Amino acid sequence: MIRRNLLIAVVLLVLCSALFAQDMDYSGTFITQAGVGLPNTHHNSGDFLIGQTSFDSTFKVYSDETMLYVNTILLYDAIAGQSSNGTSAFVSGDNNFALQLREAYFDWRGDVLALRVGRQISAWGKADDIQIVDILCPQDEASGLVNDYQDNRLGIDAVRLSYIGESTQTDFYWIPFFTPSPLPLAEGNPLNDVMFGSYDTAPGSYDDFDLPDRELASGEYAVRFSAYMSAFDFSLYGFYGWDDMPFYTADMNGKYKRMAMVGADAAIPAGDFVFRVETAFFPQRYIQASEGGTKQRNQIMALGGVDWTPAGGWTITAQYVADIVTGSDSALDRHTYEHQATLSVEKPFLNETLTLSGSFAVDLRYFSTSTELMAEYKLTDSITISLAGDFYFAGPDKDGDYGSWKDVSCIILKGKYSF
Amino acid sequence: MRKISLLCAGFILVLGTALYAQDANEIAKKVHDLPDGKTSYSEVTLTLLDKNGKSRVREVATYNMKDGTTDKSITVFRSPKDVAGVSYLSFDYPDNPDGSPKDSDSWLYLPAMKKVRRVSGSSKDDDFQGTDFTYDDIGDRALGKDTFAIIGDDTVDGRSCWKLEYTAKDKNAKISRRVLWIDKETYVTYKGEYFDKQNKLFKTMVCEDIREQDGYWTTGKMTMTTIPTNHTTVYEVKEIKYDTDINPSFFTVSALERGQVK
Repeated sequence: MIRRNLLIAVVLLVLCSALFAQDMDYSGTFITQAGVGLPNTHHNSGDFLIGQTSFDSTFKVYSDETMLYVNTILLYDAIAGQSSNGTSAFVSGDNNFALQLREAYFDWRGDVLALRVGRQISAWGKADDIQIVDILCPQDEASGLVNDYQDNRLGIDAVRLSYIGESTQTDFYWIPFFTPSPLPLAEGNPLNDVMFGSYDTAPGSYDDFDLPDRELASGEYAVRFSAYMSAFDFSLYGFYGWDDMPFYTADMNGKYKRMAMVGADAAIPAGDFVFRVETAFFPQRYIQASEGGTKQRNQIMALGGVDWTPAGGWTITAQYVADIVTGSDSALDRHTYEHQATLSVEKPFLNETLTLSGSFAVDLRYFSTSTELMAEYKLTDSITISLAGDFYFAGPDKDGDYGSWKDVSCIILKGKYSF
Repeated sequence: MRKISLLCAGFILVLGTALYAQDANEIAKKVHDLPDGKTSYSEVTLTLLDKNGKSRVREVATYNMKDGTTDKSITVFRSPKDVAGVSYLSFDYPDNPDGSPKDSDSWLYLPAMKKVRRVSGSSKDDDFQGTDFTYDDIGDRALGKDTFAIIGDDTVDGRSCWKLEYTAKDKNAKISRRVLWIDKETYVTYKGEYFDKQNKLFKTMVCEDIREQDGYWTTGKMTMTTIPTNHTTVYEVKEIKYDTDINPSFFTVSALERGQVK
């Protein structure tokens, strides 16, 4: 027994010495937030729609050309809104606690080649908060009220091999294990009603879903080529994998389907402006049918946007995005032509201790809208307090894209400590 | 005879003004082109002090490299922790042949977004991370943005200086006029006064700890005060290395995106 303890102590000592001999960095954030439904949210009026405390920690170890990176999140959800997707989080039976391994990889960079192996996040595309070519990492569809688009991106288990030139980079991805988007399956999650409220029954757990087999043939593959030049940046993308969202049969069994995509984007600076374009083509993509099941159609998505940074610290961003599928829409659970526009404005004050921002999106078919107004104040360099209002309105005639969220309009108070 | 004298006086005045103006341009160019090594690495602390004496601290590391006529630089934020890891890559070019400034190529890496974003390379008049310095104050403001004039002589810290006036060509610039005290021997700036569009004194700058290190003139401390808000930022160089070994691959978007520059 003494010998075993001694051995463990020696191993720990050697391990610690090895770690401390290297360059390490430990950082993170502690966030606590609460959100209350607004008076126009019917049964949610005055109810807590958000009640979450999270501890997000990142550990990095640098050694020569290598880096080890681990990011974990420990989370307590007072409204019991946590739900697992079976791969990205351990969730307690009462849906209050969750432990997520968001990223954990090692990274090596040589002169022209680089390798990243493990759970990792890659963000594709030039669009802001809109998914066009950014399909490599799934979105956490269960946390849309709590997190913004960036924070909702989940890690994928992948091998990424990169060929690096002076102003170009080519990335090849092999993703052996499919990671689906977590869905708001927990009944305590207010988005459960948003996503499944129109159905007679809602899936209760991931046992109700038909996930791809865990076998070599189920892998996903992706490639990206990017060039960064004085006049403009551009990227080309290719992906063959699985759609992160399931398709439902008439009795609400979820099935995942294969998907392919080719895409491109560019960013063109011109004075105080940066113009952005992005497009993706999905050949014979599976689309949810209105009577359950799927139909296969070609789909094309395209975005045009502009960032304007005039003097005074203003940042103004506008985007237009169109989403088109071929054929008629009579059998589909969507229209063949959908489009929307977004506008966001941000301005810091008081030597950047106070930031006011607003973002607005409108679906241009039914004119349903989403508006977020936010004030962030830095109490100290470590502590940031924010007050935000998320407002969703249905269109004049129909709910539209954002109208289905109208019952989760809320006011959110958030405190963040960074270390 | 009187007419000839008047003509001569006028001619001398015009010639003198032209020569003086030429001197101002030459001085401004020498100040701009002060040698700072083929490469350099520095660690800087910026302490922000508000009118109540409350302080906040920002720490940044900067890598610089000359690649032909292009100045490449990366600025990495180390604190405060909520912006730690944010990195800014910039390629600065000489002015266009017609004297107009050429926009920089700039990219910003935000760790939270996990991607590099192309940003405008023209707006460098904005405050640098809430400090009293602008991006231009900290970097090398393009010569093509201003016209120059010598408006007098003065002595600062025992050094004989020109008072060099920089007038912004952009009539809408927040700072329309800057007066810098330039050491006549070394071309190093010792002091500055910045005036707004109404020609009111808006900011003052004091430079200290000016020393020659490894053959390059280095300003160890700069204090910038914004007069209307009585807000001050102290810029202190904690460490600086010239002609040091920096991997050229650092100055790529790829290195930025991989989070390898720290």
